[in-house]
Amino acid sequence: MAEQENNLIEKLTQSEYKYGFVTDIEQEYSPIGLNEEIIKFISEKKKEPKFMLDWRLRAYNHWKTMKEPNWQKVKYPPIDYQSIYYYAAPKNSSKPKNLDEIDPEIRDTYNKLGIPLEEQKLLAGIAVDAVMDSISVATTFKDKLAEVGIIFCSISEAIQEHPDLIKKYLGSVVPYTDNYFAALNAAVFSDGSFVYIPKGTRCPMELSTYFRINASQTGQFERTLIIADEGSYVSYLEGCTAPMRDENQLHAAVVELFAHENAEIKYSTVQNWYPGDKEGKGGIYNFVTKRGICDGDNSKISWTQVETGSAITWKYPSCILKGNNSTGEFYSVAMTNNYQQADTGTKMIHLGDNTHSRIVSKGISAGFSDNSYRGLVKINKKANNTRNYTQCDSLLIGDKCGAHTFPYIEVENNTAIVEHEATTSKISDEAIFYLNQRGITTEDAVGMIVNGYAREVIMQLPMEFAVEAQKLLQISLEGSVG
Amino acid sequence: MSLLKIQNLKANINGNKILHGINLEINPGEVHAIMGPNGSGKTTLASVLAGNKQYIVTDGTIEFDSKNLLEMETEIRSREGLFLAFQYPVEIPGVTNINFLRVALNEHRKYKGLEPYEPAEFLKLMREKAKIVEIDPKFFSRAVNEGFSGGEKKRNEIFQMAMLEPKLAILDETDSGLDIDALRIVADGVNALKNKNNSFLVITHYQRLLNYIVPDFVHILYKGKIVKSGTKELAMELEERGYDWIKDELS
Amino acid sequence: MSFKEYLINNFENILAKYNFQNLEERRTTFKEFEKEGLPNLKNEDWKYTPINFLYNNDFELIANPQLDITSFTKKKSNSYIPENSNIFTFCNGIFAENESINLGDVKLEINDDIFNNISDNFPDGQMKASLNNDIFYKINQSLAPKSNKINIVSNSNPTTIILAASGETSNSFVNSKLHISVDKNVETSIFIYYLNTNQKKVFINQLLEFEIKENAQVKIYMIENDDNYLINNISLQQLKDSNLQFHIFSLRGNFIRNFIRNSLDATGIQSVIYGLYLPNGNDIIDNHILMTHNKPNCHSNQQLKGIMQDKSRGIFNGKILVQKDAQKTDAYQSNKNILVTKDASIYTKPALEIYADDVKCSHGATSGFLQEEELFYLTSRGIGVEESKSLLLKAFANEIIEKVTEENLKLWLQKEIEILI
Repeated sequence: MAEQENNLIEKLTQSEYKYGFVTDIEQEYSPIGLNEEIIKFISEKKKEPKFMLDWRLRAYNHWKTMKEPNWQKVKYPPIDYQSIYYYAAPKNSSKPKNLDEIDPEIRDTYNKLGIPLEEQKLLAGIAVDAVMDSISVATTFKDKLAEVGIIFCSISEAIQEHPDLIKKYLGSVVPYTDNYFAALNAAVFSDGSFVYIPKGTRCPMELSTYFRINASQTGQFERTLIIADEGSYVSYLEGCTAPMRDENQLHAAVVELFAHENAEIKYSTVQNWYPGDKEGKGGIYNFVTKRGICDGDNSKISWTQVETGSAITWKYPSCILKGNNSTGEFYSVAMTNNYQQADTGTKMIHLGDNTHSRIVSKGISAGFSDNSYRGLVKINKKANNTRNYTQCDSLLIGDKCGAHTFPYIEVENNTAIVEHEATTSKISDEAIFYLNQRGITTEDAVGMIVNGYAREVIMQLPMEFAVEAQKLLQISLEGSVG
Repeated sequence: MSLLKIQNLKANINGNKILHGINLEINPGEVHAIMGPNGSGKTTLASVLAGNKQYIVTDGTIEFDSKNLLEMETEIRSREGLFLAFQYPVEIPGVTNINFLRVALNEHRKYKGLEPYEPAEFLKLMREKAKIVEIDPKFFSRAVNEGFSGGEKKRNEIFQMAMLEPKLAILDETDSGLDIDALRIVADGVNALKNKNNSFLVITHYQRLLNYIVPDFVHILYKGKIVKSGTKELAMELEERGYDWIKDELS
Repeated sequence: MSFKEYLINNFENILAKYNFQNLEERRTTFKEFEKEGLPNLKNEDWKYTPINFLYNNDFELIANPQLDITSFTKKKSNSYIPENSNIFTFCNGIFAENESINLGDVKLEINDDIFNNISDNFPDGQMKASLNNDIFYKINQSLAPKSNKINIVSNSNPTTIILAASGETSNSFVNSKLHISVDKNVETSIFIYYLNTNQKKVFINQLLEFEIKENAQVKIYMIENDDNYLINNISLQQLKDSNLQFHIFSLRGNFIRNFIRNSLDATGIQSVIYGLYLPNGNDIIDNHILMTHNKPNCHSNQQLKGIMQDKSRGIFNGKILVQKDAQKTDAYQSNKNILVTKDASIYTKPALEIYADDVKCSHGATSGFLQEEELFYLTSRGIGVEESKSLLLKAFANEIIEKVTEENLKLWLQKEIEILI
């Protein structure tokens, strides 16, 4: 078995990243490095109102006073923040009014990624905002959504056209003082998506943003803001890929969700940034702050993530359960291979009465990777009759990886019921043998078992993406053995 | 031409010698039963035939359909037509029966140079075969063996056998833990699948199952060797006189 | 004056007054404390454990024995001491011969070499770092008067260890170091008490070491049952095929911090920790456990339960660390809590850190309260509400008490629980 195992692990670590191509397109950059001038440059490029520039500069000045955090269980060489381009955009990128006018190179790029930008070719019922490097290059189905009052556009556009909503909500869930990368993002973010669902509206289609890093030596700092007004519902999905490069690229995004009374937001991520090669060279540093607030009573926020890419993933999509009877959910599959590192989990902050949260986390580590679940469940003193259930499982493939679980449970109210369960195990030889005996190779058997293990989470994704996620797990893992 | 020919097979696990030289020949269309007390090596024999690497073959040969079985990986043995109905079928969380069987069956077809089944065609086949062992199609979307009762697990094994249509099916104590109704369903399933080209090796501790699946030959395995062979009457005698009779006879 | 300032201002005087040895090493270690100071809530290991009792220092360091015999005898008689037990009493870190009985199974060795620690043998870096980063360990290493070593060489009698703290007129601060080793193949039980014989407050900073040698079968009953401020660093090393049951009952105490670091350094080891903590009033009880599997085929289990009453706070931070070589590890951890009152709180962090793939590890943690249905059921049978609550809580605690195999101790514990719940 051991030799076979090694062969398979060998094979799996050689599986290719298929989104690693570079689009040869003329790019426009800001000068390299970071200072106030750069921030002014970005803000000017985006034709932003003054309040935005002021906000960015406040964020920048705050960032300068902060220290890069080091408590997480990930290791990376120090990042030189002065050797990054904070703005890169395809040239002539003034966003076309009509989807037919998109630069053919860009259109081609998205076709290769499986995201056609022609509406008729798109999977029925999914609207896409396509972001390349620092800017949004296309948004589909905008008009159709506008008919029911839904705003779905790039955040740059929203800043110009809906400044009141921006003023009210931007930074309301993740203030720039929140953490080092959130401050950096607030200072330099260049684009991202904006969604507003009006009162009582059920968004008629899935909304999605596809993030693509193309230029080298850049960082991507996108910012997404989703507001679900009273009684509304929206399901949103983000996907991401990047070219294969020897350098590490920084992706420091901020996502804010705001759910009013009786509103529900479902946010799904299929993260497949370039993970680096099998020696651990290159790959994206994915340092992301995602947080939602269930502000109104009976509101609900549900995070689902399938994380297979990035050299380092470090993020904790969280819920602040402020409204009474509100619900927070977190479903996660994090798969690491080769020298990938992931430190991910969630925070469920219970402030309101009768608030419920549920956490299901499935970690899969292979190769030399390290995979940690880190989570916080906090029951505030004034939150009565709250409930949390957490289940975190880890699966180890091979004996050179690590799987870790660090849950923090803080209960300050005696009417709370909090349950946490975690297990760590390997794929059983018996299960592999059973599948072998039915004619299935060990490689396929492992893929099958891993997908089965992750199923509870994957089933939370919208149908089309669930299929995509399953394939992704299989590719990232191709045939490993426990 | 025999389908399976075992000569002087010796095997051990964790350094313990379990099989001490087994000889056995099975022709197409035959049903053989292997009986023996606990610890005699019955499950070891089944595991070695299926290619479980926990067991080390130290001597002997096994020919299957004129090919060297011991050189094949487990999945190749399966695709060549060797099927093991497990004594303790494993639960595989999250993997649905339908997905599992579709992959397995298509692998078998690919091996034979056939195109994979179309989904509709496959589902139709599953429904047909499910009837043989009275399996509710609701089972299809449940995870493999997860939360199944003992009887359901065994029925699921026979159902998989029906889907894969092996040349040789080894039933490893398929009767253990079954009540009489479940036993009858399983046996009826096996009988319905029996024809002149396929063979069965029924491993059991009790004669009970052999009332339903009537063997052509019965072998008694004791301390890693076949110590006595005969026809179905041997099984009856064993049931009547117990294993001590064999032990006494040998000592 | 803060506690830190008090120690810094008086450090040299203390060294001289008590004629401490190894001065250079003590000074070097103390320098580290001077530099780092006391831990605050930003320190991950002290995140939920505020040491407010040290903000304004009202302790005076005592490093010589001043046992108040009347108080000691009374407290001792209130403790459970098994029949035919060896008794070793230490007062303020110094062996108290008059209050000790050696029936002959035990060797006692006292010397000045306090820098010879079991943790020096820990093969795992994280274990060492965890102890070396502990400021109270450093304080202990600077100020413990003697190295006391107890070596249990043969079976027969249980051993009772009484760690007493005393003073004359002021609140006393005591550093004490004790090393207990159990020889190969020895089967024994060890009972440990912390007693305050001072009329005032005491703060005990204890360093306890256990060396459980090959195939030794050891039961440790640690009973924290007096109004102390206690910081208890416990280093354990287990060798091949040894079997340890560590029972820890935190019944009384204003502030208790136990940090058990157990290093499983050979194959075939069994290690079980059962804990019960019952803070009330404004008590803070903190149990930290770091269970490190360094070698294959070992089994560990941690089961801790807490009942938080009044305004008390419970903290549990337990980690199972499985190193690369420790294949076939079986490790479990469970922490269950009940908050009885609205002002009580619990902070729990059960962690797994695993670097071997062929392992079975799991943990669970719960926090809850007394279920209305259960209460209703009992009251509907005519039992009063308070009585019902207490019945349910006792049943919850009893699961841990039941693990005690020493029948008389079990009865004694149940009696104590009657008073506390």
